[in-house]
Amino acid sequence: MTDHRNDILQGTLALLVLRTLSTQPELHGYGIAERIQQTSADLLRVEEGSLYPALHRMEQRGWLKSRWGITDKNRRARFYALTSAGRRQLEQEQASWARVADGVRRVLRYA
Amino acid sequence: MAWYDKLRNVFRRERTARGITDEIAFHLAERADALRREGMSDAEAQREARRRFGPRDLQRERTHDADVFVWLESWLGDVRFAFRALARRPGFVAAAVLTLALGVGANSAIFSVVRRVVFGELPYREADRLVAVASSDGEDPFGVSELEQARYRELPGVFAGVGAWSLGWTNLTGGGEAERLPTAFIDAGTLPTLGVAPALGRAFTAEEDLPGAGRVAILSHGLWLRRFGADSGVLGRTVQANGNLVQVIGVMSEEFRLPSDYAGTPSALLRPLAIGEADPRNFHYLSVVGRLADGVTVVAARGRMRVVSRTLREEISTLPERFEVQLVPLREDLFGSVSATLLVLQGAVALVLLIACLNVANLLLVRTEGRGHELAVRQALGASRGRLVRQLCTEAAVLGVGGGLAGLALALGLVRVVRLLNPPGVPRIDEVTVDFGVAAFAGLVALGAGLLAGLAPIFRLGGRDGQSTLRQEGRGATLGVLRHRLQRSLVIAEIAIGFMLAIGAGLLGRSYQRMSGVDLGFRADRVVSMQITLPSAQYRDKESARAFYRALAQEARALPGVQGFGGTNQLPLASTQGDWGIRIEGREEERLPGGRRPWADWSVVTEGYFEAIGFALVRGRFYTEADGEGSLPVVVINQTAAQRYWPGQDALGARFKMSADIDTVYRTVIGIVRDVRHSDVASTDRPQMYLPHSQFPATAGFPVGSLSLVARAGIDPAGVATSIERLARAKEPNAPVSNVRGMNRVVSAALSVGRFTALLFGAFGVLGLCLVAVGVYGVVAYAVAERTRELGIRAALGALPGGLALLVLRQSLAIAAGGIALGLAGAWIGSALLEGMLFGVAPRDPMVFAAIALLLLGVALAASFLPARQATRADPMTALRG
Repeated sequence: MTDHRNDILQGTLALLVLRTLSTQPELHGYGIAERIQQTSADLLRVEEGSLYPALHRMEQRGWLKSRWGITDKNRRARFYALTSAGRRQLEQEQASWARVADGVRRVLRYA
Repeated sequence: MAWYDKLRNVFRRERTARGITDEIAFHLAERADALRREGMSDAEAQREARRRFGPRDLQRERTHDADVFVWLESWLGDVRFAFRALARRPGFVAAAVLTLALGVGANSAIFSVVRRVVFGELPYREADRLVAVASSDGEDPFGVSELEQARYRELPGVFAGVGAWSLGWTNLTGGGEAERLPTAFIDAGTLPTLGVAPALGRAFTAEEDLPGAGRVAILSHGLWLRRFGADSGVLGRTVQANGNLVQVIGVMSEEFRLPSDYAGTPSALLRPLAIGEADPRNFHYLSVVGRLADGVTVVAARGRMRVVSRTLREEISTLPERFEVQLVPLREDLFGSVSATLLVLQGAVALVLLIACLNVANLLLVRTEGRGHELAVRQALGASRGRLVRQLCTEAAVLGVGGGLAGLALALGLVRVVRLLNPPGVPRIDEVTVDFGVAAFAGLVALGAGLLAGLAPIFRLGGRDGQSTLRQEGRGATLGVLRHRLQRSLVIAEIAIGFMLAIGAGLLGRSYQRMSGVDLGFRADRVVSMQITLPSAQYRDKESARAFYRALAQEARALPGVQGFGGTNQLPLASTQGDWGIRIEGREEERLPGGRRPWADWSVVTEGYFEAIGFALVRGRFYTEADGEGSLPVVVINQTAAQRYWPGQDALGARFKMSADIDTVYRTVIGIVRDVRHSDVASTDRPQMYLPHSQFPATAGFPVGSLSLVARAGIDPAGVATSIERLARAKEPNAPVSNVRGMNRVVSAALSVGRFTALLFGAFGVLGLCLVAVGVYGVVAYAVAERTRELGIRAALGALPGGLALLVLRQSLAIAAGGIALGLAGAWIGSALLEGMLFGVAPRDPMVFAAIALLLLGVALAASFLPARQATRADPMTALRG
């Protein structure tokens, strides 16, 4: 059940994916979705379908690279990994996210 | 994923799609597994997994879009759809493609000529730095003198190099038959200035370019192939040129052309010019080319030349008062005037393409009518108008591309024909090919034409909205109002353009008619001519040459069938004449308004010449054998000279002498002949003098031993020509006899440019009118087919078949009248473009305009004949049955 309050803004999806892949050598799409869910203690649930257009777009822009591989369950899956350009993009996105969060916090405190 | 991946994936639909499906399937399988571990049943797990995933097809599509160039994919889809749609109507496609192909093919063929002649590179290093240097006195330009070219060479900071040459002939003997070769006598600076070097051997050195030295020669590529068998050991070989031994020191490359080669007979041999001290008589016979120094513009150089002109005018008294040095960029000098004609032709053939375009537009319009239902449904299903427009554009573009390919194939054939025809007056025909540039032109033009034609149905699409069309599609007679108007407008435009094209053809045709009917001043029928050159080594003095001709003339006249015999150094219409200043007795220093001395075009003729070629004597007499070396110096002039220099008086008995020191005696005018058109068919009002061969001394430009023989035959010109040729060869085997031809052929050759232009324009006109006829037929036939019901009702109400036909013809007449009126306006303005190409016809000649208007009326009516006949067969029963 998707909790609408926890729907992630589209812009942050890229940030979350980049961050997730920065700590792992490579993951497939399902793995990325699961990991985001787990590490956010279930607070964030990706609408799973929207992950794939995002992944392909990010690969397009050179932030990720992919390869077809076999999982331990012997299934064919596409694995994604971060590129160096992706790492740079991650830093940028983290910085701007921090700025946005800071601004929101200030408004909530002082407005 | 770089852009080439995105590009590739467009063409790998299945592979990309499969990858995405697999990826998503894996995700769903994993999710289902996890849910099953939490305790759900198989079916429940799968359902939940799908639910969590979200709209699968949507995401799949969005993922796919991330992997490809969406616009490219979409466009390819359009193209595939267009192909399928067109494949269903092969007849329509054939008609449209053929029509476009005709237009594109003709345009590409002409363009290939334009491209080579007008824009093609010249075979010189940095050819845009080269200028042609000539002299001018306000009228036609003429050559440069030895003194002048030396002066130009010395000017500091204007030219980086100057080359001068003159054209002549060489009798080549040794190593084969005696041959008379067109020769260019070039100075040492010519090849370096042009920036070319011989392919084999070397160019002339400055030492070889001195009088007395220079027993060397360079062969043209063609001569080397033909006479020397492309022997690479030809360097160092000696041959006899004009009786002197010369050594071959070089061979030019195949692409090499001297600038004068483009204007006439290419030179087969290069010899040194060998001017020493400048001849003080200042004959203007040299062609000069200069290479501008770095950083010097043509304008700046011209400014410097003006100063030089002034200096020269003051120094040399024989120069006309308005003498100016003329600098023209070489390309413009060589191809300027023919470029103008070619561009006019390109314009004409573009009009043909426009007509073809309009025809295809009409075809598309008619077809869109039939698809009204399909398009309405698509609109109802959500296709935006922009999408439909794109679809129609793609179809039009596909037709355009098809027309372009077919047109290119046609152009290949046409160019081959053009090269075979070798049209007169067009230089560089041998270099014309269909190359990549022409193909690109064909493609662009075809695409443009297709899209232009495609505008028509899009225009029609404008007034539509899906609902009303769905409801009304069927027999709506009211529906067609807008469409009819558009179709009519297109046909009226077609007729207008066809009219303008036909006017051009008509004007040029009439111009040629005038030109070929003009009175030339002599009679060419049954007259034959040939060229003979006595070897100067054996005939060193003029007396021996004259004696030869006297003997030859005597024997020739005795031949059976010969009615007249004579010789001249300049055959009319076969060569241009030079002019010479004269000093009239009693007013030697007289100058004409403009500063020029009295002058006349000059040629040298033997006795018997005037009679043989049919000059008309106005006063006095022709030359006889009595006029010789010891008798009174005489001359014959033409009417223009008599009227101009002795106005109101009798010129007979007047005396004048040539202004240069060649001919130092006063000559008495003993005969006045009617004007003859000598340089070309259009030249009139030029004073002419005919000097007697038996008295005139040898001079530059007139070696006594070289003449064009002329004979009038009684009945068998060819036989007479052969017997005279045989006689001449028998009397002097070492003298080459060449160019044996009838005067009729000479005249025809002089008219050939006008004839060719008229023919070509006429061909375009005919093509255009055929297309117009097809267009008119198409529209009228369609209208009749559409109105079958209405016509049937009229017939049921008592209309006669003739009346029905008249109804149709009346409408055609209205269309034709509209088109002709529009075309009249266009032609009235546009025909001025042809002014320079017309002879004896005004650009707005009322007779031509009237005739063409009638012609177009006739074409429109003829095209409507069949549909009109169809109308008379309208059956009231079919109409009433609905």
